[in-house]
Amino acid sequence: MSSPLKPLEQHWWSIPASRYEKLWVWISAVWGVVLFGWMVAWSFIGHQNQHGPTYRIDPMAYRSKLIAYREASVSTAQGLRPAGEDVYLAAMRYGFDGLPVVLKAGKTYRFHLSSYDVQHGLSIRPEHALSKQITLQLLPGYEWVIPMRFDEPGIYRVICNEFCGLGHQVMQGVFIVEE
Amino acid sequence: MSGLLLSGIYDAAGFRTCPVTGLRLHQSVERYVKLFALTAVAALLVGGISAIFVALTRWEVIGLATPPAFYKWLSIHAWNLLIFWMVFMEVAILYIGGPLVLGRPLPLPKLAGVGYAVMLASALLINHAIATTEAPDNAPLLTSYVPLPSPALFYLGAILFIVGVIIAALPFFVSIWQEKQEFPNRTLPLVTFGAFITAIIALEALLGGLITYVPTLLWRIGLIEHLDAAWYRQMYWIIGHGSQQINLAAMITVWYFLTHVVGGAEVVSERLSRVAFVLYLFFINMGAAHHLLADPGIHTSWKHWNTSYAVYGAVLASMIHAFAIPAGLEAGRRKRGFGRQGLFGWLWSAPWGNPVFSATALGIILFGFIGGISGVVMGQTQVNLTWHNTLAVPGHFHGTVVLGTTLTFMGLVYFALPVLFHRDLVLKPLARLQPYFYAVAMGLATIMMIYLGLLYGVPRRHPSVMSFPGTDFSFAAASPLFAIFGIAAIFALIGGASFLLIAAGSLLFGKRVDNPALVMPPLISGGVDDKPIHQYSMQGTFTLTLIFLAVFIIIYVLNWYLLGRLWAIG
Amino acid sequence: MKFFCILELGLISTNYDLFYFLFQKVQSLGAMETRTGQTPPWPQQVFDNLWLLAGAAIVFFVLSYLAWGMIDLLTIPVGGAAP
Repeated sequence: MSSPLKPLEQHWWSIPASRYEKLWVWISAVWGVVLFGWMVAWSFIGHQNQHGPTYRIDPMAYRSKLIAYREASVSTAQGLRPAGEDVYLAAMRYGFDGLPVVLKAGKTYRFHLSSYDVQHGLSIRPEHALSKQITLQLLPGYEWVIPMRFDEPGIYRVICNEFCGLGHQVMQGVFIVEE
Repeated sequence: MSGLLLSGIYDAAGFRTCPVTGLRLHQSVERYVKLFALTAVAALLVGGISAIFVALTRWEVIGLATPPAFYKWLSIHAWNLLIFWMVFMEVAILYIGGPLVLGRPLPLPKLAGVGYAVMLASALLINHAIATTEAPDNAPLLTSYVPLPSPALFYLGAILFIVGVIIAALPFFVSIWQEKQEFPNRTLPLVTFGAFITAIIALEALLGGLITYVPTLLWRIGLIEHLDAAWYRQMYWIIGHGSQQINLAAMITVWYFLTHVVGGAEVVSERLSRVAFVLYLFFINMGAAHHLLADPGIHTSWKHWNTSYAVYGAVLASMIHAFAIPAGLEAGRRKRGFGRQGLFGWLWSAPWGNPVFSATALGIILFGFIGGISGVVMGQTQVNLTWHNTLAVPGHFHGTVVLGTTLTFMGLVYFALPVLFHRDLVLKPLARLQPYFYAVAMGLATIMMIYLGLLYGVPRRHPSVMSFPGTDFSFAAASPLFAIFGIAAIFALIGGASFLLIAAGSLLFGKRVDNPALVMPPLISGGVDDKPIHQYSMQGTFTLTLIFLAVFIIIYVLNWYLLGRLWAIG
Repeated sequence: MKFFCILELGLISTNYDLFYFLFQKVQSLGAMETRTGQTPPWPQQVFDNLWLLAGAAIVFFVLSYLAWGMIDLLTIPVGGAAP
């Protein structure tokens, strides 16, 4: 009897497995290659990749960059209108510096992302389609530059989904994408 | 109390033969297995109480706890269930898989006692530190992400707990070493091999924990000035995810054990099952990368390599076990004459009325379909963007740790009650029903969490998504699903409480059974060894695994489709 | 950056091929009959050497996850001042 509780004395390695089990192993191995291959392929052919350069930066230095960006942008009632292709955001306890911002649909912006204090989660969705949402991790001391292009105009809501203290649950922001 | 821990009749050398498993067990092993298992169940109770406050706060119609209290309850919930309920039970499982199955006394029992005492004291310290958290500290949740400070006593407790576990694991390692010295030409039993793999995975995780918490404690008390957030995440997740991989390996080892003793399963291929365990050994802890996929700093190629456990090596392992365990049941039961009716006669005739079996079988099915599939899918680098920090993440790990490991460990406790504690179950009709009730209720709550997180973007670790001050935006559209979640969670709480009631009731008031084989009939023997086990039909299992693969593919495609709908990123 | 990814991919697939080549090779040893008394097949001997397996696994993890990850973090460049 093949018991999982008994020590083995024979050459168990040589005992063949059933054909179904062997077939299942091959199917699983192929599936594993598909899982890996698709993920890697998406890095080259897909349009959603959390890919962008990261820089070390002191939070105070990042804040200066954001202030400079704000001064170069146009302030409107709806939010900042960036002068060029760079958009600066910083999460902090308990809000998002740099928001609200007004962006043009179909234009690719370089989003500069960081945190002034602790870890935060940048959770974005258009308010008309809650199922379209992503999250990026924001770390103090790091500036992550990720290009993003919003094709759908609308109001985009931002919340923090990384616990950052007793005010975590009030953190929210907004940006507008217009035609 | 000593009566609880030292029942049964031992010979002069301290051994007795278990009438259910046929194993020759020493009283030193039995004593500590029971001690660790009982403590695990006590942690389950504490964690279960905290679950009331967590679930009924997230269902904001009830909104039980206010924000500061909610974060504390969430921390208590995480530590007592993800860590203490799991790890105390896993030390018991190491002692079972090692010295108990090998028929050896527990080596260095004093170390086991010291390890236990340190683990217990630090578990109490951690609970205390969380409960008394006040400014400038924050509740640690599970992860205590730097630079958000948690109480210094919390970090100290975590370090001590890790040290305690390492000490408690030493007798296991020594028993393996002793066995290899005494029988150098023998192969360890599969369950022992699985326990060894579990122990090494645990060692990696625990050492990662020390690398994480020691500097963090020094930072918290001001001896280190600055701790890098990215470094912390990289190190923390070695123990953060690694501790959950201990659960995976231990659970699978218990599956082989329980399907054998209660279901009549045999090992259909020692080679493939051991290959699977070795794949886990090498690759499973790379899964710590799953938590870093949405992070800056690390290259995408590192993410792809590590999140995939080296081109899905560890997933291949899971797929092997997913076949081997039901196949072992099928072949073993066919051999014992239970396979007469067609493709699934072996399955329908299984002891579904025995909560040991039903808890184990439900654990296998639900872990696979809900926990496992969601884990692999959300671990795909880019798909993770839609899962990270949403309620779908706790949804996934309730699928693995609760529907999988907790159900399995409940089955193990149901087994231990007559076999180790010599107590017949009380409230037997309730005990027969409990695994099903719990599985359905918890299953529904889990699926709701995944749905809410993925398709509504509801965040995790958040007490009040139904209103944000300063804006009219909220997740109010998700209210109906939250109601289903809340009701399912209440039923799950009842299911969990039922288990605790039965366990405690049986321990204290259950009828003493000197021969547990009378209430827990062993199915180990049976059938004639006329042909090798791998020659029995496994068509039923193959059908089931194909269905599993089909569901896997559907969920996989669905998730990539959802990702593809998003705006352009990167 | 892209070159680096392709290089990594090449290394990964080579290792993968190597691992599965070995796996296939040892699978073919299954053709042998089961006997006791003689030395067991070498894969069985490897699998019985628990401490070797444990050591190799820990080394692999330290390299794949820890060392590579630390190198990635330590080589993050310092950011400039102006946007």
